[in-house]
Amino acid sequence: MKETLKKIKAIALKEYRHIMRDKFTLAMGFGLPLFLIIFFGFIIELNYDKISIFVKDANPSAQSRAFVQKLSAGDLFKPQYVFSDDPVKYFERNKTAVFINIDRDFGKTISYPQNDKRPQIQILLDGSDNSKAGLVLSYIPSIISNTYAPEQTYEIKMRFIYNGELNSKYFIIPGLIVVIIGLISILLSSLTIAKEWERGSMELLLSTGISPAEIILGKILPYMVMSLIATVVVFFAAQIVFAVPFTGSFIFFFISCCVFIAACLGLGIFISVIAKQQQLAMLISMPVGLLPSMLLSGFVFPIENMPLFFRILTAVLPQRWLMEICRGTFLRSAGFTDLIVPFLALSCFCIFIIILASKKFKTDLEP
Amino acid sequence: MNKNLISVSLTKVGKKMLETQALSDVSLNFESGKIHGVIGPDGAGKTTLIRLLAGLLKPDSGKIEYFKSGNQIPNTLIRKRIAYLPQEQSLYADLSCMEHLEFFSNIYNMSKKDFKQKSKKLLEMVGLSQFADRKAGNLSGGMYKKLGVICVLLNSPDLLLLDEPTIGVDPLSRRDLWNLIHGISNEMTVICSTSYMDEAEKCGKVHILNEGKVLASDLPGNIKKQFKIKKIEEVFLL
Repeated sequence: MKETLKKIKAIALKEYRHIMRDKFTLAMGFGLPLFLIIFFGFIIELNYDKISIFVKDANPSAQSRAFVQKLSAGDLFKPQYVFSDDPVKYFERNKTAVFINIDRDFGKTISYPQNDKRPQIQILLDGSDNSKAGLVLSYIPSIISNTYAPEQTYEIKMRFIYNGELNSKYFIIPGLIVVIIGLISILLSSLTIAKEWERGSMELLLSTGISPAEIILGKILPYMVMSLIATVVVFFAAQIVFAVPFTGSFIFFFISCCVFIAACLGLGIFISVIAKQQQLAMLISMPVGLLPSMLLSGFVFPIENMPLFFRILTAVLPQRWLMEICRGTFLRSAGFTDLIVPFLALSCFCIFIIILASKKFKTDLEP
Repeated sequence: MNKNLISVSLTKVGKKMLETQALSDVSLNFESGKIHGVIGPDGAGKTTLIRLLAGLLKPDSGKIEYFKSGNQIPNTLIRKRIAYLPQEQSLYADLSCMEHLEFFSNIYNMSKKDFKQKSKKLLEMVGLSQFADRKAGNLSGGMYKKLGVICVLLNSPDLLLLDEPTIGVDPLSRRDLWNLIHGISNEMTVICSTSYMDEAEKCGKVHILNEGKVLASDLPGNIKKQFKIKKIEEVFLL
């Protein structure tokens, strides 16, 4: 027993020394929990705030203005007037999730009710974001009823533009595709360069005069094929197992996935280039691959509710942009012109990270 | 001296690796077409010297110049003409001998016809033909080193750098490896580091390093005469 305790003590002392001499482990052990609690304390916000509402008031009146004013009274909604007759345009471009159409005769009919005509308010909702749609669905009728006297009768017409059943799977599954493909791509590639350094083959490889770009692109290609196969499998699983409809352009979706995968593989390789050790690369790629996908991509928590700093931070994450493309193409029939911003952002990130990985790639053995 | 092969000249080369002064004021001449042995105990600076010659490290001071047919070759162009086999295991355990040769032939941009001819010749030369499909991880120490050498020889280099190729290899395989080196020495300049002092006798010229400094650089016979010793290792006992 005494001998065993002595051995355990010796091992513990050795490990203690390893830890105290390893800055990374120290940072992981002490710095990371603090960082995570501060970071995600800001991010995890399940309450909605200032939901954008576009209002088309065909004939502004004191009565219709009173309703819009009531909408903006709290912090929940942020109404703004628009003049277009085409609400779908706003939905496809993800400008708003709520469009309110106030009838031309609203002011007149609510003040002087007529037997054959009741004042009408049409509310169009983007059901592809079902949590937001559900909230609007429950709040707006009560705001309207609080605005007008009980004897003033009116008619609310609700219509879902997409995902009329408010099926949460339609919201979650396209997002999950992004999370899964992103994580797999980053994890797969993050070990490749580190493995070469660890097993000594990098020294031999570098002596051949091969360029960093050649190594990086050569490494990306096979993983690209693997990840694309995974994408197709996940895509069909979403269709067959979960019956999520796909309404947009498959070619655009597929091209976007290719760019996203290349970006994630580039990110993984960048981690690998920096880490040079498989274990370290794995430790870095897990949080980098998983946490932003889950928390900062808009998958669960709405980006518009995050503080400004985090909203800006999400802009440099490829997951955030593919999330927009995925939800747009799956449920809102959005095409390239509607999703040009996310597509360009994704492409820019992809080019940037591959160039950065190439630049950071050491072509010598200098310490 | 074969003027068509590469010769290398080091002038007052110094190199610090982190806190250690690995090489100090090293001036050496590696004439073309010879087998040069860089001899010294562990920590003498052999690996640093070979890595500097391979272009994987840059000297802190001094200069390294490469010459072919009397003309200096820019350092940027030399890398493709050098073959280098590191001391550490650097092959892929899960790839077969033939897959390794195929991989390196592609890195060296060889044609398929060229690859077929050369790989067959090289495998036969080192006696690995019957093991062509065996994975590198399943080869013996000697076979593994031989595979490493023929992989870098595929490119028909002008300068071959071998960092302690015989370390951890059984005596028979060591003999085979030296036979291989002698067999190719008329086609290229060979610089081979080793901590086995007896291997100095197998080299055309010996460069003895100790603690980052040059102790001697001459023909093995001349060194023995100069230091009045019977065996090269006795240099370190003086």
